[in-house]
Amino acid sequence: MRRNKIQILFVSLIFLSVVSIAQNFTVSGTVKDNSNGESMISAMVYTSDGNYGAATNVYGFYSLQLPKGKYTLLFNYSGYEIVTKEIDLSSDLKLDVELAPQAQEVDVVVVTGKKNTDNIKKVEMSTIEIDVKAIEKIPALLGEPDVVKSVQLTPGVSTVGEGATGFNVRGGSIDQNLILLDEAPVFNSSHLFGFFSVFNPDAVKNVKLIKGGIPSEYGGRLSSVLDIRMKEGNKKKLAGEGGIGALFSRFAIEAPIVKDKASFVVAGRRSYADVLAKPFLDENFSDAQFYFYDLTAKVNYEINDKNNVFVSGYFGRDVFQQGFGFNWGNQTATVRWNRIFNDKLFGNFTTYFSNYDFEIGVGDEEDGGFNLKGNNETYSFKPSFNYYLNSKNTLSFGGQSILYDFSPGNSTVFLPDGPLNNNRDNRVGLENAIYIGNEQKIKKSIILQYGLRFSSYHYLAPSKEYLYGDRPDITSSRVSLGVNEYSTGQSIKDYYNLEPRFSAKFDVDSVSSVKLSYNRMTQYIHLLSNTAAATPLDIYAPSSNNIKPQLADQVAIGYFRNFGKDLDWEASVEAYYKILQNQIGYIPTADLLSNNDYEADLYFGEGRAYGTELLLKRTTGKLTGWLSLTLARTEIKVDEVNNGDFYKTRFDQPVNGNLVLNYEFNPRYELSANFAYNTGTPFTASSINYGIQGISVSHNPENLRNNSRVPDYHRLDLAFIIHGKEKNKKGEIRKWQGDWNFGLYNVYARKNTFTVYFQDEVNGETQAIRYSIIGTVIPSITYNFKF
Amino acid sequence: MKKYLFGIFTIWALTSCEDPISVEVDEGTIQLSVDAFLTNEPDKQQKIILKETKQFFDNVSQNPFVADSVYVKDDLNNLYLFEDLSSNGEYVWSETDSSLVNLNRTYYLTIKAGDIIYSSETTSERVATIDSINWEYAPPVFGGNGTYGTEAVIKDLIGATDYSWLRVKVNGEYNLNKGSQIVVTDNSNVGLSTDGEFFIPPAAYYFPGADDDSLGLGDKVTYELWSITEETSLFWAEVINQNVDGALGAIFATPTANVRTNIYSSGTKLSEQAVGWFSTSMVNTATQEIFVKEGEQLSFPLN
Repeated sequence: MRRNKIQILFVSLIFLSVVSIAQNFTVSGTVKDNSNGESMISAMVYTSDGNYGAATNVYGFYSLQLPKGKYTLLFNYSGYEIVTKEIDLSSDLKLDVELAPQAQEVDVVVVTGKKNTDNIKKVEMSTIEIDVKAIEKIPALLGEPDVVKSVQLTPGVSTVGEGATGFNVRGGSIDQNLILLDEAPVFNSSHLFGFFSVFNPDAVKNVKLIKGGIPSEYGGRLSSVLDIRMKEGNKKKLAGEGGIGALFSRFAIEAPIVKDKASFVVAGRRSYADVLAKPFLDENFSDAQFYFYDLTAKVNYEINDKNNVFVSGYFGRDVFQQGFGFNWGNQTATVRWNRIFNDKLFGNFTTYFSNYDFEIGVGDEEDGGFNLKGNNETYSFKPSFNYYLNSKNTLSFGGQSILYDFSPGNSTVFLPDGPLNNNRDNRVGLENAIYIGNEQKIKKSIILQYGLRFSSYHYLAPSKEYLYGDRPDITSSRVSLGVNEYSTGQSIKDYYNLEPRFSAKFDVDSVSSVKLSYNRMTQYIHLLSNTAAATPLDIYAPSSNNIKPQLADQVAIGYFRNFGKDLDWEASVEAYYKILQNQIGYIPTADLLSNNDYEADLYFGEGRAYGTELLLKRTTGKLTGWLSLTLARTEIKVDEVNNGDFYKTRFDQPVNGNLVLNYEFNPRYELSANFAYNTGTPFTASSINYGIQGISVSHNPENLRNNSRVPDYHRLDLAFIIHGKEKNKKGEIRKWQGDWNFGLYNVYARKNTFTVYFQDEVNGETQAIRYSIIGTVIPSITYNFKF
Repeated sequence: MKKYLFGIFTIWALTSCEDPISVEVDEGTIQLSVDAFLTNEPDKQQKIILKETKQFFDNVSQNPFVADSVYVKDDLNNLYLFEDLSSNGEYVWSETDSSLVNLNRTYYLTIKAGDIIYSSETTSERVATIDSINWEYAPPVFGGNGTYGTEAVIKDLIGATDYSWLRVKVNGEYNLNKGSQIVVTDNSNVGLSTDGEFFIPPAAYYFPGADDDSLGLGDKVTYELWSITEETSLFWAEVINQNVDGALGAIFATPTANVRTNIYSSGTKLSEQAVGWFSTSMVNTATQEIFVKEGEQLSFPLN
């Protein structure tokens, strides 16, 4: 019944909006950067009176419906000269525009607001966009700019510590983030156990994190979407950029293949800590390898003014080897075809492949070695459309099919009689979704965005149906009742979910607005991890007859206000409440790595997360930056744990704050600082111990989880940036631009705790030992360049 | 694997550190802890240690638990009384001229304390013999003196699955690290068991860890092979699983889980429950003093 009401409401809204609009003409086209031909995402197009406006989509396309008449159209993007076009509209008009970067970046925009009232006027909330240029200014570990680390400095985003893979959004686990690189999901966003993310900033064009009010085109994860778009490649001229740092170097090159028609970008990084460390290592470690690398590449071809093709890929790997081997990595490949069907209908067809795999081995085949491999493969096809119905309604619709083929871990032991294999069964799932959404301007001060996503999931053979009975006791695995096998392709279990999405914006006055949103999200694949933080060995499990899809309902409300002489101060406060269903917990002795019956080791319960996020930022002027403060709680309730009461999750951080500042002394010298603080993350501690045969045994009689916290985390980082002279002695712009970045990470050498473990002796001393992955100040020098 | 990881992450060792801190943990409920590992060894005093568990961070000894009576019965209705002669919670069986545990018997433990009765049941299983102990010198890896490693030659008994707890003593002292305990199923401690075959590495292999003293010439290494039940092997496996290395091993560590108990209480309150274990074992022992083998080349003398 509830679903029917939602559907009726949705259809009524669209119908009303269609009938109420008079005949208009359409101005449409693309907005590009004239220095390199890159299409511009979210560039604003609006009439000088401010009555009509639109933003470009992720491919730089816009479509604006206007009544017949004369207009002055403005095209605007932060850091670029505004372009003005006078038009006399009496028929549909195609208008492609190129914007020129401002000659000198006097006012550096740190977190892109595009225009000083964009954050107020747009319907989207709970959204963070970070300019890649700004990422390079934020002080970073070893001076290496990092996309994900920068996102972690914004409200509602956290991590359980240095050395933790991934990030947490509004109290969600790391697998609840849909991380998209050119629309292909990336399953492990971390290099080197989370010290760096897998995204090479030199190849990234746009970074957008959506934490709430998630549009209907996105689905499959509960907590957030991190949508990363790669550069297309310079269509005008050969260009390059890179950096030489203490831990790794990076280089990107881009150039036209056919000027203004086709181009490519290739970007690579490789760490060389092993090379640098070699002289200091014992000879037994002389053949040690520990490094990571990644390669990102993209080619695009403009077939004609209506058709564009993009092919992009990512290949990255972390390798640790010395008498044993441990490596993991992601690979993605995306092919996209854009088609402008007409001035109102824009279509995009994406197909991608994504794979994450790991391998760990000790010894070799001759001496009784052991190895373990696992991987997650994903294949998908995704058509999506924007239909610019009229000046008040922009429809989005489309669908997606995703095939998951997860190989959770195959181990081999090399025995004298031959290899002994212990293969875990592959798990296969098919996820389908169709969606429709509309952004509707009720009037200038009120915008609604609403949509529906209908998703289905099918757990398919050759997966097997594992049947389990009850647990002998609450801390034990469920008892196996057998396994059913089906013919390949047959569906073992089906799930269907309707996911309504809604956002609204109401202007309070010209400088402030109130926004609210609701979204339901469904997640059909789940990362299983019961270690202190997720590790590269953690496996994804698809939903099955035993694991139901996770569901989340989130409501959020926010107040947005800009102030200051040029409205250069932006402030927002948002509150959210999230209810999560089918959350996964683990029995105390869960075996997730080498066990076909891992589903018997899982608990299921409900979760809740709520909090308030404050963001205050200054986008222009000599002093820029932001202050973010998050007050939040995240809890889970599982019948078998903690007497069935809610308990804190591992990523519960009641207070999380970041201060990011950049001061530009002059165009050549800048000083950046950031200070991060958060409440210590919870962990499970034993409260009791006793001796058996002289051996100390720890005990937690109340079976509490996450009943203690590590000490609070705080850290100050500084960076001093010296830009090379922009012009030569003749006053000409230098072709080669070089910057020096001097950094100090963890300035006051805080020993932030990653985890706590215990040394105990019966009738002897018991100590809690904190393990700090970074317990000292880390200086760095990086040289960044572009040409 | 953790050891390997520790070695390879030398670069991070430069930035990482470990130091003691204080953490806040709410006090847990105090319960009875039972340490009842009885054997067939006639010259070893058989005792059942009853103590109160203690708060984790209280650096004090466990308080003795006062029971009204403690006894073991077997399935032939033999009664073995245990008494706390020293009022320290160590309840001893006074007879010393005979074996308490005999092969293939079932034993029942009863502890009475006020209105509460604690009880348990276990069996005694067969045990293999230790044929001999080999030793081999290993040169230094990270500097230092190098060390000997030892390996016991033990052949699993043919037939039913045998479980054993292999304890190593160096110069009469047990290694009491959780991570150093060895639980063997048939002939393997890593899940690759074959019935009736010689123990395979690393089951009967002793190589001093980073925290242990190295083995040198003149050191005496004793292997004790205790027969245990499958349940007791799971108990020890859970104790071993509580071991958490420091350093980057911590990244891969799962939260500490409680270990099972086979002590059942008639009480219903949490404070009336017990932890600990009751086990009856047949034990075989072998000791070897390490000396220089003919023709053995050491990089330099040990001890």
